[in-house]
Amino acid sequence: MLLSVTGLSIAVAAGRAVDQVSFTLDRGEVLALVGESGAGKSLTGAALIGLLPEGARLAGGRLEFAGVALERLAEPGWRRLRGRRIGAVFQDPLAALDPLARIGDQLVETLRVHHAASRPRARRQAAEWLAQVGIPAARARAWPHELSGGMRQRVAIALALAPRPALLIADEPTTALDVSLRGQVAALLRRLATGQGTAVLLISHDIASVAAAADRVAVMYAGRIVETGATAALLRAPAHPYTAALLAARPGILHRPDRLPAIEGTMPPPGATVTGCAFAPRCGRADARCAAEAPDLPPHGAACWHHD
Amino acid sequence: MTEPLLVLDHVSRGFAGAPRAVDDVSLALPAGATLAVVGESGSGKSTLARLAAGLLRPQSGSVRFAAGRHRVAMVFQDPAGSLDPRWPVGASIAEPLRALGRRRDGHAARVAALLEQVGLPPAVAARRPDRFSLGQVQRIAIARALAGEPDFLVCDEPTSALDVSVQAQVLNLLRALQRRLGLTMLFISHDPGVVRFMADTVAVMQHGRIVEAGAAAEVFARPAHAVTRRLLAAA
Repeated sequence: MLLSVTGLSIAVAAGRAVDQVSFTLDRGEVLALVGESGAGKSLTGAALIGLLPEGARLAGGRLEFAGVALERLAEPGWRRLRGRRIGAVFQDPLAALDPLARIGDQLVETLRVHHAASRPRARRQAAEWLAQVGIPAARARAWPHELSGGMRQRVAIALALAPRPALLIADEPTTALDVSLRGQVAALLRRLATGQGTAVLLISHDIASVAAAADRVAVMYAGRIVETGATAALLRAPAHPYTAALLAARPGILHRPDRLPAIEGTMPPPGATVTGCAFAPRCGRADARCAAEAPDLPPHGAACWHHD
Repeated sequence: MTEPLLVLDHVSRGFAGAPRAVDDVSLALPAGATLAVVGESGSGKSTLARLAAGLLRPQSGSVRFAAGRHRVAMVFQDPAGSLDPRWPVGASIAEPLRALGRRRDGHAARVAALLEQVGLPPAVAARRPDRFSLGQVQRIAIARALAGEPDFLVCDEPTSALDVSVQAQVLNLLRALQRRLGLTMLFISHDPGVVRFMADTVAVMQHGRIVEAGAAAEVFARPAHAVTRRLLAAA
């Protein structure tokens, strides 16, 4: 097992934002972590790369990565891992790109720093990476601002994967792109990562645009994972009412209903007093037990009293 | 087909970086219905929205209402942009009321009614925008747009920054308001599913031009242009 997260909790000023989250990732495996804004998925990803934002702190849990206890790591230790063993791709590719360097040169630098490659060898590899992400060789001399959003994100993916990290945290990597590009970019990320054995935690608020690129999906709600499963099975027969509601809420192109099945109400924010299942107040199937007792998440399936 | 409310006739508009952002577009917006424009980033659809709303002037061609006087309002992707962060949201919503010359002592009641129309309680009016979620801020921005009593509403990617479940709430709201108030709507989106839900008629844009247009049900069932087919294949 490459990564084993057990009982991860993260506290923010208002209270628990991530509560007892557990999952594992194997070498070369892609796990999609999906849920709405504020569910705790980005904080979970940030904890795994040692970049929790100001005001958030680990409040418990074990994060075992290739024999290293990440929860005990101090900044110097993180600096040895970050970028090299654990990479990251974010929603805004400009965050990863140096605006004052040509994209080919940025790849060459990354390869030289992380692989100690000679300059001619790094140049050759940089050209290969650009070809892999579908950018013509002539564009190696382009500046980041000269590229489209989709091209920039593909360069950011190449930069993150070139050091051959064991784990990649991809936080909303396709969200800034047009719907028509999201699937392509997620598929490219998957192909390149799994091809070199890099495991990916693929974080997104949009289950539809990342599911096809993931082996497994974990759905988060109000700081907890409420359902996990193999992608195809979870999409075909979601076991948790929240997962089903998320899938149904996205408008399709085949029909035009009078109303979309929206999920009325809002997710409880960190620190809110929740008794029972956090989704119960918005759930059509909730009964007295749901309101009183919180269901546990079984190893495969859903944290729901109505699921067997 | 109903009478058009707005007619764009051979409209072109460019900028320094994009000499033909909108390139010779002719379009008639049916009154009391929703026309949606779908296309990829950079296809010119946001420029088209601003031309239709009168925020930009065409360099050639004309944008004119078929007859009579009309009031236009616009809803943007980033709702925070249309609200002043220092003001209670009620003051932002009331701003168009002043422009309409409504009596000041009626403002509070009107603001409460507008908030109710977008599904928010009246107490919301006293709070500043940073107290709300993105979805709530977009509802407030819609209330502000409606305060000007528009009959023509231009929406530019109004749900692109929202979670899927919140997007569904806001789309339901816009669709219900369009029907209840009989609005003419121009709706811009890169998302074919969103367009399918909102549009009575649809226009597909690429490189500043409209490559296909027609009744939405027809275009989605039998896309004629390669660009349309590619958009639908990825949805």
